[in-house]
Amino acid sequence: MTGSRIDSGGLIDRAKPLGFSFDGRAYSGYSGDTLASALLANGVRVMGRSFKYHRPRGVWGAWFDDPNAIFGIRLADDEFPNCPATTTQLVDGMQARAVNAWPSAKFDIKAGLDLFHRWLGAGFYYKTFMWPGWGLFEPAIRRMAGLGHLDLNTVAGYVSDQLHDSCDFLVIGGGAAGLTAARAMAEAGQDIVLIDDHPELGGGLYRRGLAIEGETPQVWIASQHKAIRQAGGRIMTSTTGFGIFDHNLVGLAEDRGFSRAPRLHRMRASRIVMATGALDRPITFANNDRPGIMSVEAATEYLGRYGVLVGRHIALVSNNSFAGQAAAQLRAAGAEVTGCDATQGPIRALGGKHLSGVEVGGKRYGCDTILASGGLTPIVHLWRHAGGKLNWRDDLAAFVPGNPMEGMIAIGAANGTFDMDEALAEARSVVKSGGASVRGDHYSITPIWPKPGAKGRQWIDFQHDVTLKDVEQAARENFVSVEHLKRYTTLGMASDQGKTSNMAGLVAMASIQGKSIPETGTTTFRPPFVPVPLELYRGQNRGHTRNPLKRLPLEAVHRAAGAAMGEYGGWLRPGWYGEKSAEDAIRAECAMARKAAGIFDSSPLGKIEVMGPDAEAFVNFIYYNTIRTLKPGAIRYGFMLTERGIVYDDGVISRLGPQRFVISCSSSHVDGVNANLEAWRQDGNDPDRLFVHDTTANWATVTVTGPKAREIVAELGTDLDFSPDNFPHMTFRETVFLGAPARIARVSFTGDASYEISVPVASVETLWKTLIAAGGSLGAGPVGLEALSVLRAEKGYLIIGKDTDGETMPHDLGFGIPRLKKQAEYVGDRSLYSEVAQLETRRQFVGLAVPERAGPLPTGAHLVDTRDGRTVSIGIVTSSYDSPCLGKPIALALMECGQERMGEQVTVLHLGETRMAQVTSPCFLDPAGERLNA
Amino acid sequence: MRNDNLRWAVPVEHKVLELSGLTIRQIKPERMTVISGPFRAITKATGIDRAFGWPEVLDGDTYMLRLRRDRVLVVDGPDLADGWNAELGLAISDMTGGYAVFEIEGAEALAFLRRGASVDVRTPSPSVNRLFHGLAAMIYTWRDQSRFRIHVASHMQEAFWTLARNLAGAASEHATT
Amino acid sequence: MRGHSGWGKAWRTSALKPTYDVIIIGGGGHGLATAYYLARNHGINRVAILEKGWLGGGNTGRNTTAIRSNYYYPESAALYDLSLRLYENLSKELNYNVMFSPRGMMVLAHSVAEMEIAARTVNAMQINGTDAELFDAEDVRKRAPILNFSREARFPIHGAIWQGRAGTGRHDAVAWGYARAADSLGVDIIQNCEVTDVITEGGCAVGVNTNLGEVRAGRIGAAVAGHSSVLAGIAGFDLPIHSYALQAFVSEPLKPVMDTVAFSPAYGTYFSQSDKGGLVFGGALDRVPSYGQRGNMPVQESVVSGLAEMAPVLAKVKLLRHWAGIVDVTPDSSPIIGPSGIDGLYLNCGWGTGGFKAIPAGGTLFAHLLATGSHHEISRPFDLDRFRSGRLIDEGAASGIAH
Repeated sequence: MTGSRIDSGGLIDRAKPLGFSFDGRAYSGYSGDTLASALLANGVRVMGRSFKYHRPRGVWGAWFDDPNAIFGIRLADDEFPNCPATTTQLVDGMQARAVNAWPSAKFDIKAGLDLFHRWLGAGFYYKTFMWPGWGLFEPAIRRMAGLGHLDLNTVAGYVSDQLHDSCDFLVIGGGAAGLTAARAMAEAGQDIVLIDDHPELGGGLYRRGLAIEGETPQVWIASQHKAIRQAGGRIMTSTTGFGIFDHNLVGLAEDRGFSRAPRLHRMRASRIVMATGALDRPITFANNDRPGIMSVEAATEYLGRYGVLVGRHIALVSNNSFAGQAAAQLRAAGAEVTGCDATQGPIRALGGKHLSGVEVGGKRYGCDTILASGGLTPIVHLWRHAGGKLNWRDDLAAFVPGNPMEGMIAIGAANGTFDMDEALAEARSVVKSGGASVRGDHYSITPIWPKPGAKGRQWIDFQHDVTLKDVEQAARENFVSVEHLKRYTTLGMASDQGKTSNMAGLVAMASIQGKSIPETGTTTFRPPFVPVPLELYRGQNRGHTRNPLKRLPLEAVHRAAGAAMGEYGGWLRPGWYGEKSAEDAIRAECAMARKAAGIFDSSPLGKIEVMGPDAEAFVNFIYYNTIRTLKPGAIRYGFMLTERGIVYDDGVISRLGPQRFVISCSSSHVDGVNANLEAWRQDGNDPDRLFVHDTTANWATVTVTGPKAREIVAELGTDLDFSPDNFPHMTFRETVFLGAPARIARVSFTGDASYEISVPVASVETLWKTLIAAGGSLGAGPVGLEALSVLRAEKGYLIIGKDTDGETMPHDLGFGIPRLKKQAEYVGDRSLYSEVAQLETRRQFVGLAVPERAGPLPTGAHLVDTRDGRTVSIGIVTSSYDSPCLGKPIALALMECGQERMGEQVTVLHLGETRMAQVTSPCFLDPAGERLNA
Repeated sequence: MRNDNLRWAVPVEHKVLELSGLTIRQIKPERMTVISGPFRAITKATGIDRAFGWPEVLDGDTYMLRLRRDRVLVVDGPDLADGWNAELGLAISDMTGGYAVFEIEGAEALAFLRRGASVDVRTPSPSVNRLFHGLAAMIYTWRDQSRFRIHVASHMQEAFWTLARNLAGAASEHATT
Repeated sequence: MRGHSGWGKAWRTSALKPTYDVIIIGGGGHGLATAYYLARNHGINRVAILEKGWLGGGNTGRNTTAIRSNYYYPESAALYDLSLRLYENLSKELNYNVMFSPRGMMVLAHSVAEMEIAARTVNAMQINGTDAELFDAEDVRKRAPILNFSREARFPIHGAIWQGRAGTGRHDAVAWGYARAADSLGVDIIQNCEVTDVITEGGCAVGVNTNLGEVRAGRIGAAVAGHSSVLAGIAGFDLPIHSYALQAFVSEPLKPVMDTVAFSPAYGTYFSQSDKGGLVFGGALDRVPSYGQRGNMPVQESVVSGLAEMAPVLAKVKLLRHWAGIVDVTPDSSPIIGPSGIDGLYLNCGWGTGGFKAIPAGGTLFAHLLATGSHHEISRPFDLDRFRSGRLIDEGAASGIAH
């Protein structure tokens, strides 16, 4: 006989029956059941198949310590893979299927694999499948491997909620010790948070089945709960502490229901109390993987929490003093229980899919269920995450938390304090030092460990089918460190991450090696303590709130004007305007800008002010070009180099006054330039004489560029004289627009006369509209980034990071004078004289011309040469466009010795195809600069 | 060349959000000024003798926030000339258009803030600078323990608003469960 | 068929001898491969590998198993493609299944500008003599249908750099395969042996002190990855290296959903699916110098959410475990192979986040250096002196990832 529901008891709500199916058959359970408890109550035993051999598996545990019953579950439209039956709360309508079994857990067609186990032992795949090649076998192996099948639909509304949280004391575990400590501290005025991963507090009290401090577990738990709340403590159930990170940051995953993503609490706790309890560990014996073999703890848990009796004729095989109480409870519930002393000799389970009995030391006992407890293992994972050490206790045959750490203590069973009264005293002493230690019923244990060389198949890792023989084999092959043992056999690498297997594995190896258990040690404990969905880490860091773009003050105006907005350098900016195709719009905008004028939104341009008595020396140091001699009202173009001499950014520097400069760096680099400037500021400068202010967000800028630009800006109603003699190129003026300050810089990115007008954000809409109105009657209008890219390329103006690469130095770009002449030191100066900086074969900035009909060269194509019979790259095409104004394709490139090869033909290679191009100056338009200076 | 118009939500004109226990609205101070330099000099220039950090409760329409040891943000302070003040040794920049300011109010205000920033009333900080869900922000307490203000760069106000709507919904839902 | 009982020890447990021809400090993939190639290619087997812990326990046992040679510069292409070619035949050579799976790798491009960079890299790879294709979005979808092609994707997929010969391998098996083969050729692998000091005489490194005693050698090669700075400190030479934690992650095992390796610089995450079924993935470093071999939540959130964004159907898949190694990062993201500056002491380090794919090449080239005292032509560009001459091989910059 298998499991059944008893008439009363448990925390389930018998007034709320729920329907579900498993492997196609319908069952019912109650609200408060897990899938495992509901199936057991229905007499179902076989709930899964092992990973490798597809042996039938029943549940071993009642909570996260079960590696066997893993289901794919469908609920309404949503399907989730790899749900542990023991920790999944039953919801009406669930359709569950055992993973990795077909057609069902009960009758799996791959069960025959077990016949080949002799050749499928640990590491078998390293020794075979090499000939003719792994590729031949891999597809089949991959299909056999893996547990759950992933449904390829996303779950609607599956979004995690994430928050920062903090407290004085975080108590992890709401069992007897945790509740007691939480109450004591809350009543002592501490700000405490208590978490427990079950929906109901109480931990092991339900399975223990005894009164506590004179009350039934449920009454006692309710009192603690009430007292904690009244003292202001916070309690979170269905919440798992899954990891501890540096400086006492604890990751909490709060379960919000089956189809909902859990909530992440990033809990910063001044102190952590680990009251996480202990696990009942398996005994390693022959055929110990049969369905119907469970931990003692699981049986009493199913009884106490869920009102399920796991079997009728139970053999309870144990080596420790807690077995007696468990036997009494099970008998009281109506089972026949035979207690067997596990230390009496070799143990063997009898029967196949259905247990028939157990043999202990030669004696046979008939049974339908075997409860096997090898002793308690404190759950110390979080202790280890935090860097705490473990001590081995011979008297407990267990690893317990070692010396207390700053900010973290362990209490109760987690600390190896298995006796109830001692645990409660220990919990109370968390508040005050030196609590009285009261002796309760002793936990005594006679260790029984796997015996290497023992007969029969003895399982250590149930899910991964790792047996004692595999450990022996690993030892034979010299994989003797616990880490090698783990990786070679895959012991401890399953869903339970070794909760049920690590102890047996390491002790078996210790025994084989003749080493002590502490000498052998454990493998590394890593988060998450239980598997958590990827979504837990995502929350709102998704979609368009992930790396959100910066937005223009004029965005609504651009949209209204029909702009196609795109992502450029971290901003959302107009790419082009209007209903036409992109190509047609860009062509029209280029033509308009060269004929009349283009008006565009250049607000993203950096406006970083450098101020103070040391500003001049500083800016002169930061920039490659000499800035020291810049006069107020003047603008200079400059390069910012890295210490390696590589061009990091270009920009224009305007001098507003003797001690005030504005750096207008490229839009995509503002944050980087600002950080760079601040870092250099703090390196050896007097902090009171030099300041860097990034004012980019405060100013909006509109640029008018083209032959008619001057006429248009003259309509702004300022008092400025725009005639070229009074307002030449590379100068700026400060004025007033709409009563607010305005700066007009005559800088050009297109090669035509251009005016960049910067005003406070609040004024930009009027500025734009004024310029558009003035421009409209002259044939000018808005242009977007795409047209701008073409216009600047016609003039040979480069874009750092596009027309330069990680090697480009200023003298490669035709700016060689400061390197030769600038006396003052500047960032990168030494690197400009390194061996590589002085090579004659450096790649230099050039233009490329192709015949008109040929179409533009592909950006990313390489310029190539043949040397020693091999093709080598001598350059790259960095920008390439069809130029509407010039009526032909143009391109920019970096090319070895480019300056010396003007006029020569060069081979351009792209995806295997070659073309020819001619090396030209990168400036295709108005080299004399007449349009620029007009 | 990609047209991303449909990927990014149209900017929201009036940013007000009202949920149970939580109200978020954009406010527009008349003036915001960043000043760098020695604190004594800042006091002299502004007439304000105290700069606030976290979790100090601010009041009044004119106040000063500490950004770092040598930098403050003055809200609705005097109209000072932009640039380098040689006499006092101060760098002064108008930033009225540079920050978007939001007021967050209600029983769930702190819970909302903690969905983006690790602010903790028990952990003071001299500076109001924070990260709010990855955005550079200034966060401070305004008038009482259930009212706060947050400044983000003005070009990030749409990002903040989209985030805030989602986080506010989550905070509100959490409060009711 | 005797099952497995016919396979003896994978490697002997050797006693440390007082002298060797070559000592290799570091029993990770590179150290083990070096010893193997010393014996196999150069006939030198009086070699000891001194490993502080258990062999293969450093980054070799912690990486995300990608093997590729999709690099930009010819020097890098030569190095990593040598490695890839050796991986292609490694199982047969070592008679140990390292499960090299040439399932291809794609580096996604999410904009026109990124496609231009992709084209530049594909062309460079082809010119450098390795296989590369420029994929469009449809090509990507055919290979990896679970990637995010939805209209809500933050970074739409335009295409990718595709290297078909790239793939994955079983990282532990690489270490064990080399260890077994080196051992069978007579190399002594000494585990639990920590080097505490480098012994120099007349400015020349002649041996090391360890917790198991002193040992001397004609040449000493250090392949200690994240601990290179520590060793440099002990021995007294300078290294332009910072050590950071690099985190890696694995999900619960699933039936096959992903048949190739995908990396998105925009989302900041790369992933593949192991033959056991878990999704193996990673992303950026924890940029705080540390030997702690653990990282923190901000990077975890960034990387894990990056995967959920790359392939939203994976949001409900559960993370099973994450860990970290220590990566030794150089200024140009390229390794250091060559003399250390102290005669007799040679370096193979600075692989940063990319050491696993290079194990066969690193071993081959380091063995050449230790056997002959001079560089193989492929390792010459990676000498420490490049930081003096400025001849850096800046693969970080070449990747076009914005700084």
